[in-house]
Amino acid sequence: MKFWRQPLDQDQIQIPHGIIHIIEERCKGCGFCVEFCPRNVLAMSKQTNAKGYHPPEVVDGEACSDCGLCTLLCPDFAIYVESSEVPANNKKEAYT
Amino acid sequence: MQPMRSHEGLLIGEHFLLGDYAAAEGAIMAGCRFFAGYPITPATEVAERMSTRLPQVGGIYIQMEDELASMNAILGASWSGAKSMTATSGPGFSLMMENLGLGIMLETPCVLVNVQRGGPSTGLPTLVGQQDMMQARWGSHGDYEIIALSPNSPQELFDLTIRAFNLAEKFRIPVLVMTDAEVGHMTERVIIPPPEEIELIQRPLVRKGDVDPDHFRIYRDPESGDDGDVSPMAIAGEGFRFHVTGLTHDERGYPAMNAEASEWNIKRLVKKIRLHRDEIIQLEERHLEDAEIIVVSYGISARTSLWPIEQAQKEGIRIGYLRLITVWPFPEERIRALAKNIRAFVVPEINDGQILREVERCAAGQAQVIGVNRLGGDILEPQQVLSALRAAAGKPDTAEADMS
Amino acid sequence: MAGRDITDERQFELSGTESFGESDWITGLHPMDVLLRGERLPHIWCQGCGLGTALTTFIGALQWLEKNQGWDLDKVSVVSGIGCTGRIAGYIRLDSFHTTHGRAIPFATGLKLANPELKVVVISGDGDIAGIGGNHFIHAARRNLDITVICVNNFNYGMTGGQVGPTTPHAARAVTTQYGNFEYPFNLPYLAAASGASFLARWTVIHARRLEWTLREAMMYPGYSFVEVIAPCSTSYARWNPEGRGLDPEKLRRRGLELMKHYQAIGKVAHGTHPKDAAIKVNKEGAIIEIVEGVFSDEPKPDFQTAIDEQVQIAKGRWQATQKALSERSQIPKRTDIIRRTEVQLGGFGGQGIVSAGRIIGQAATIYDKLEACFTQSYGPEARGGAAGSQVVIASDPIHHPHLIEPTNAIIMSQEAYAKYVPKLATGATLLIDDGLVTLPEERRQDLKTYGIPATQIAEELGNSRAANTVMLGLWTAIIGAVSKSAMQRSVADAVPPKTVEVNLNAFEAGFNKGLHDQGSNAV
Repeated sequence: MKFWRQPLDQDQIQIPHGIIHIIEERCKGCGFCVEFCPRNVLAMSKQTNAKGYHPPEVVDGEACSDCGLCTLLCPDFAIYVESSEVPANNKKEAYT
Repeated sequence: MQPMRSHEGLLIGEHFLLGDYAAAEGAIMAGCRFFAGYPITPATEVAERMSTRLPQVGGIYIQMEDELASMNAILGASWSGAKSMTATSGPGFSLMMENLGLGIMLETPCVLVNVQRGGPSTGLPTLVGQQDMMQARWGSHGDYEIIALSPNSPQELFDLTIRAFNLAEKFRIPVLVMTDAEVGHMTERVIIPPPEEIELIQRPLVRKGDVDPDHFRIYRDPESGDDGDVSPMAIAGEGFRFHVTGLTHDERGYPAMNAEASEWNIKRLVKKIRLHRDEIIQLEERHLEDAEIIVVSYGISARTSLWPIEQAQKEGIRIGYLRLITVWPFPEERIRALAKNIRAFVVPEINDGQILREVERCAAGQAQVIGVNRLGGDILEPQQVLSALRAAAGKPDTAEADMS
Repeated sequence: MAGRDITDERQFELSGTESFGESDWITGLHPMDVLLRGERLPHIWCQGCGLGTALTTFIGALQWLEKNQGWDLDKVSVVSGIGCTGRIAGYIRLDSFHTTHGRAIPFATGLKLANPELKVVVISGDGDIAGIGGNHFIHAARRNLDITVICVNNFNYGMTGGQVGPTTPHAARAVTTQYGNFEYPFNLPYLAAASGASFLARWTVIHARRLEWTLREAMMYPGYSFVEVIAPCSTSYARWNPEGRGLDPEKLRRRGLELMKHYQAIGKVAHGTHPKDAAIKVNKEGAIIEIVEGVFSDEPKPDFQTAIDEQVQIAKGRWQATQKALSERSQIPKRTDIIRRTEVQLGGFGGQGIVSAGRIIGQAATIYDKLEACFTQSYGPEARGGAAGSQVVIASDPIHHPHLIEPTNAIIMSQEAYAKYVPKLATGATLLIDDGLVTLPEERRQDLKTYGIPATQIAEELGNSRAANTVMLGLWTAIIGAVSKSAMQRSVADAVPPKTVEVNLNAFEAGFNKGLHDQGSNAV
């Protein structure tokens, strides 16, 4: 994500960061979390769970901003985000 | 909401009271604090009385949009801990069948008063019938047992409505008070004793703190065995976070879709009634010892048979009287035993022969079973019953009897 | 009652997909597990079904209310009907009721009214709430009962395999509308608004966050709140309709997702939209092309419970008055002579107090003279002006037969009643008429003892024409003698409005004196 100009207070703003937990065996592979993640943190895994569904996997964990949308959208209680104490913009790859 | 035994607002003493009103007063005395209904002749006066009286004792009256809603609302209220009741007739009773079944399945204590009128369909809104007796037994789909009581006077409407609540609470089941337009619309003396003299039964209840919610079973104490015991009930808001469903379920109230669960489920529903039949069945018996003819009847038809019975006795016919105060469960064993030693049962009722079939089933060919029927619209004429009694005894139907 | 651990082996075996012990769900892994019945999961909903998302938003809202508003979730009850959505009650770890089809709202009504402390939420589907339960839906809105109704709308009957429903868009396909739906659907927020609901909202599940916020608001709202939640039916509805049909094989495997994307694309957030403008728009092929979303209305109005509480105060005041009147009821000595079965027929037209007169006799006989009496009245659809009749049987012994068999006397106050009842009187019966209103025909029964009194005229002269029935009762008491005068006077005073007691007792006296005077002679 690129801004056409940098906010003046960019240094003080702390972008929240989250740690994603996936409970693979609960997943039915609907793809909601992958499709609607605003920061493209997730992708469908090539692996299947015991029921034959492809659960999601984290492909860009550092980008997660702890918005919680995946937790809320997942119809199967198979994914949730835990707030991290380390802000996302202190992470190396938070902004490019 | 746990009903408090407050005596404020209770009517006591002697009153010249309409039958429907007596049912309402009985309910209030029994601790009923929630009524939901829909206007229908001839049961409307139960609702009218409740609408005036319930707010006076801190209860809730609500007129729902139909009888489906009324029946559901009283189930909901019961799960909030209130003793609850509805009253209806004819088509309204048909509409209540769906959720009478839900009440049975969820094992919900409540009382349904049916002031029977003539049917089928809209039938005879203002006139008497006893045509819903089999619907009371089998009207909701599926296998179950039910309790139905049949009062023959406003006084009994008062007394039996209290009993209906006691049975409902004890056995966690909807109880039917199967009265009729004649008794419901009749005004007579009703004596209401002081509340201290009336025994009230409360449902077996688990309260907050009694049991760890994680170990609570809404349908069976796991320790109690499968012997017809009634499981303690929890009510909403006490922290048990229980689930109940109209689906076939297990003891946790969770859906269980298979034959074994169905067997367990239905057996429990029927056993809790069948194994307590002696306690539930109440009969009035007169002159059965050496009877050759026994009149088996209930409600208003039993009452109007008393004069012809006295007349027939004067004519030398040995005649007994068995009144079904509890109609369901049916006193099978009693009828079976009596059938061995008598000539005939005579069954007067205002329908085309409903309880007659039960008597026939139990008599099993050992005694003749004769119906005296009127198909709704009016009570049985004494002369009609007397003629049937004479015929049953093999005597000629001669002179008109003097009424006095 | 000693409990067993829930993971113990069961005492009897249940098999099947919906039984305890079959679950592969390990609970405690997800922050929402605390409000789920883990032993019943995974749930029955299909891959890509929006119901799971509806449930997460609901749980999210509850957890927020618990944390930020101090809600005790033990006091929250969830009521569902039948259908896919109806199963929510079975998965949420709260007091939960899975009722019959369409009946969740009336069940919830009873639950809430009997314990106003409870927060009651109805969650059910469109077929359940707007189809079979439509009547309950509008009436609960009309009452403004303080419950929250969440209707998850997936545009068809999903559980039974995708039949058309009350919300299926026009021209859309369902298994029972293979040539396109020829009916028109409900606009649910508009229906709720017209029925009186004042909190109205709609979200698709793709707007999960805003849906969760709205659910919090709806549950906190004082009064009836309605939230329509649009959710994809990935298996049934998507199969037949343009939004999910004809997808390439990879996407076909995730029809629910395609529907979610579609709803995201066509959803139009517009808070404050008038519900009439919130109909779901479709094209000619029945494909949904616009869904207006947002909170449409949230202006509280007086709620139902407040109105009930106010009534209780009035009712209790009235009970005090009733109790006072009852406590002042005087007693007279029990009648000791034997009264043989006396059958009284009363007849006239509606408005004359024929029914009241019969009841007054019955009350006098039972409550004051301590006799037995059975009072019945003839019911007809007519109100005032029509024929009115009532009957009383009086005796010292219990009354087996409540109807008149051989009426021994009659009070007749109209020509029509004369024609109707007089032929049925017993031989030698006593007939009392208001001879200002009833003219005896030339050809008449000669066996009757007939007494006349211009009751209506006398009552008018006394200043209240409505006391005519009391004049007749006075005459009846004097002539028939089955009930004592003092009992009748007390019963009259009990029955009439307090302001008219005096005029009625005067009317009674007038009739009684005429009766004493005429007694023994056939006056007419």
